[in-house]
Amino acid sequence: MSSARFAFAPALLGDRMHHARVHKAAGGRVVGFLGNCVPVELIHAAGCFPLQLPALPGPTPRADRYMEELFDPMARSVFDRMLAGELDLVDLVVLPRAVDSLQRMYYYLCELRRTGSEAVPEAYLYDVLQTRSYSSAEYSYARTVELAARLAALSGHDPSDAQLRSSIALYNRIRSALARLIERRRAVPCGFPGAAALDVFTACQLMAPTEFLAVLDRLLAAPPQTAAGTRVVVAGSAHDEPVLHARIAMAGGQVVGDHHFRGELLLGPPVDETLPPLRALSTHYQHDVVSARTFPGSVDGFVELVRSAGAQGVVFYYYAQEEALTWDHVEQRQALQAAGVPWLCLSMQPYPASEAVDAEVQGFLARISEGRP
Amino acid sequence: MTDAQSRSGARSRKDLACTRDATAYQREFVKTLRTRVVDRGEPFAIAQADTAHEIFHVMDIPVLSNQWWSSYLAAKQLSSRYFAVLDRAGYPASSCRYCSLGLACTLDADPASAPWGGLPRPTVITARLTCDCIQRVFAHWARALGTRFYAFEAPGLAHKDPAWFEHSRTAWREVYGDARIELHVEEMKGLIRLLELETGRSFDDGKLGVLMERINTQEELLDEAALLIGAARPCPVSIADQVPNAMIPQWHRGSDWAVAHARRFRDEVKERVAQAAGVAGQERLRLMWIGAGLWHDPGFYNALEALHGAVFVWSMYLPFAGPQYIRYDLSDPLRALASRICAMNEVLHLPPWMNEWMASEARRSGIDAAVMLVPHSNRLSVSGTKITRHTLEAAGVPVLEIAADMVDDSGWDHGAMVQYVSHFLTSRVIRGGEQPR
Repeated sequence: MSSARFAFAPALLGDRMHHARVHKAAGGRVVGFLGNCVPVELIHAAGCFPLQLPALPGPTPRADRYMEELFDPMARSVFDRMLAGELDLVDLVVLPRAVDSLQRMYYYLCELRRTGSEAVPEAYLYDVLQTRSYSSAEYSYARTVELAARLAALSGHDPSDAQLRSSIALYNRIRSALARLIERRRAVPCGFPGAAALDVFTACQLMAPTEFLAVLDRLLAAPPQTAAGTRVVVAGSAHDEPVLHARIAMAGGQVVGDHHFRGELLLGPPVDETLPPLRALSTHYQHDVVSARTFPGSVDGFVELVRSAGAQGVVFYYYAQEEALTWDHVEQRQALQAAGVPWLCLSMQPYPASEAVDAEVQGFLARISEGRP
Repeated sequence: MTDAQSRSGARSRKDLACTRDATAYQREFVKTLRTRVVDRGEPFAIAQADTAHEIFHVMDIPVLSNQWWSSYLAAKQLSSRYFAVLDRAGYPASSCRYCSLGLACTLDADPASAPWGGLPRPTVITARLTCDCIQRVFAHWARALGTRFYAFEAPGLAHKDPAWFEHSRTAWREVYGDARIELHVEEMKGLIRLLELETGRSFDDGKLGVLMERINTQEELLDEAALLIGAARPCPVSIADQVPNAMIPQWHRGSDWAVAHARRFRDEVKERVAQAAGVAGQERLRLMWIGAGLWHDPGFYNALEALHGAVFVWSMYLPFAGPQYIRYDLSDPLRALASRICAMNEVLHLPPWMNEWMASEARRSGIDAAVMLVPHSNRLSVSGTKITRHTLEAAGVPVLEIAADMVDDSGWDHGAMVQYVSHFLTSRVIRGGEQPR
């Protein structure tokens, strides 16, 4: 179990919705969301608790009634939990257009509510586009304004410009603290274990931002925690639990970079504090955050992450339901080849990782250690 | 039938004279297209089916639909070869394969085995970003072809009108939303500018208006045929005849030939209704086919007629013509065109549009049971199927899912599938020896 788990208890050790429940019990509103393309700054500024809806690995019999096989497994799990009534504390679920599984889930939730077939929370589509054109930018800005109005109606609090700016600044401080953590993790030797780092990313969206930042600052004030092992970057499908990271560590590796939407791509670069706040948020989520729909895509960010992490190898891990990111694989692999970084591709995998990957991971790390990748 | 024939696809039986003419026309068209783009090197475009082909038609730029090209490659039995190309290139197995056959053909770079010797460089390839894969597949393809990819966004649709099919012809601004229509108009203008610069050909709003009027005429004829087929007992035309007579004119929508052919098809349908001509000797079950066409085994649609008097009377291609193509009020033809294009994915694959339309169509056509194609390799194509199944079953229409692909015939066994559907009909539709009619 990672050291971060204790630091971020009870969010990571007990009830993942603990902090949201406390907020709700005090009369606040909870806004659930999924993915890395929902403006958490806006939710926080409206006085609501932004909660990345937690998945729970295991069977999903309720979701299976309505959702076809090829949905992201974390989305499927959350959908199942909604149908089971386990996420009833949520007042509104905001799903981004930016991820295909999530936008389809939005329509499913709306239909189940419309027909009265199931009691599920109200869903809202944040219709953010991610092609980098002027028309997409203008369209996304209008949708960001609409989301702000919906959140204000939900909470009864229409945040002022200053409050929006303050929320953006708070999340930028979180981005900066996470950047320090990433830097420590990428140091040689690695100064923050891979599993613990992923836990921090997960905790980031289970807690109120001020509370999270306070804990993270304390964690970063402590001396680095050196972690040994062959330096590995994990890429491909997103992970919210460090199961793969633990398996890689058991095999003698150490994850020093997470190139996925719940890892280092979670919050994106700092939001521009010089722009009008809604414009800044719209630009950030349309243009600056990398998602499955970012277009045109680029391999550069991936290559830079691998380089700056000093990775000795990359493990691509794709869920069986992953039909899109796999199309980036060949180009990423070619870039690694050019950089002389070996890679291992684990496709058609379950969520979360299982012991079935151990032999391949061990073999991969052994080849790196022996200098015969 | 030999064992091998039993496993592989079979040809479908065609009852209408106009079906032969449609396929003959398409064959000739393909020859002409090949001459224009391969031999003469004219500028041309590759476009997904759910893009505004009308723009290319107005500018007299040949357009090749990716879905048509995929079905052409599949019909030439090249699917397995090309999927192997993608495997060898290193794309992991879960990569969506639906739209990627054309890319694989280009990557294969083998003029000896590729139809037309492979496609030459198009001026542009274009698609709407209806899923997370398509931008990647088309970006790779554009790079391999040495051309550019023009992407259309596919925004969400927050206004959900379950009875969209009743309102879409006239109230299309409300049904599809001004913001989404406006965005698509802007993007279409971008494509037009690009084509004008690249080809030197020009776009004319007046020409588009005339084309849109003619398309309305064509779609009204197809819509009338769909209504006749749904109302007639016995079913005068099975989907083996419906699909080519709807789709081939749809690729050429608004052309002289397409309008004339739609009229001819409608007339033949009318004639068969008047003669009480039926598809099966004795029609006992009316079936609905949900999903894309089974391009590698069209004979499957006729296989249950002799066994159970079961006739596939409904497939989306023909009845879709009315609600999704007809657009009244053409004062701003580009906006009307945008409304036709900008929600194709939602109405065909997402609730409440898909399920409510299918349930309404099942009622209209007197459907006894539905067979649903569920290609497990493609999220876009399978999405909405389970909720649609619930809606149909709640309306009293039993549904059977078939896990198969529309272009990839690996694992498909014609004989076994016929038996599978037959068992479903026997156990869930024909109860106690009593058949519905």
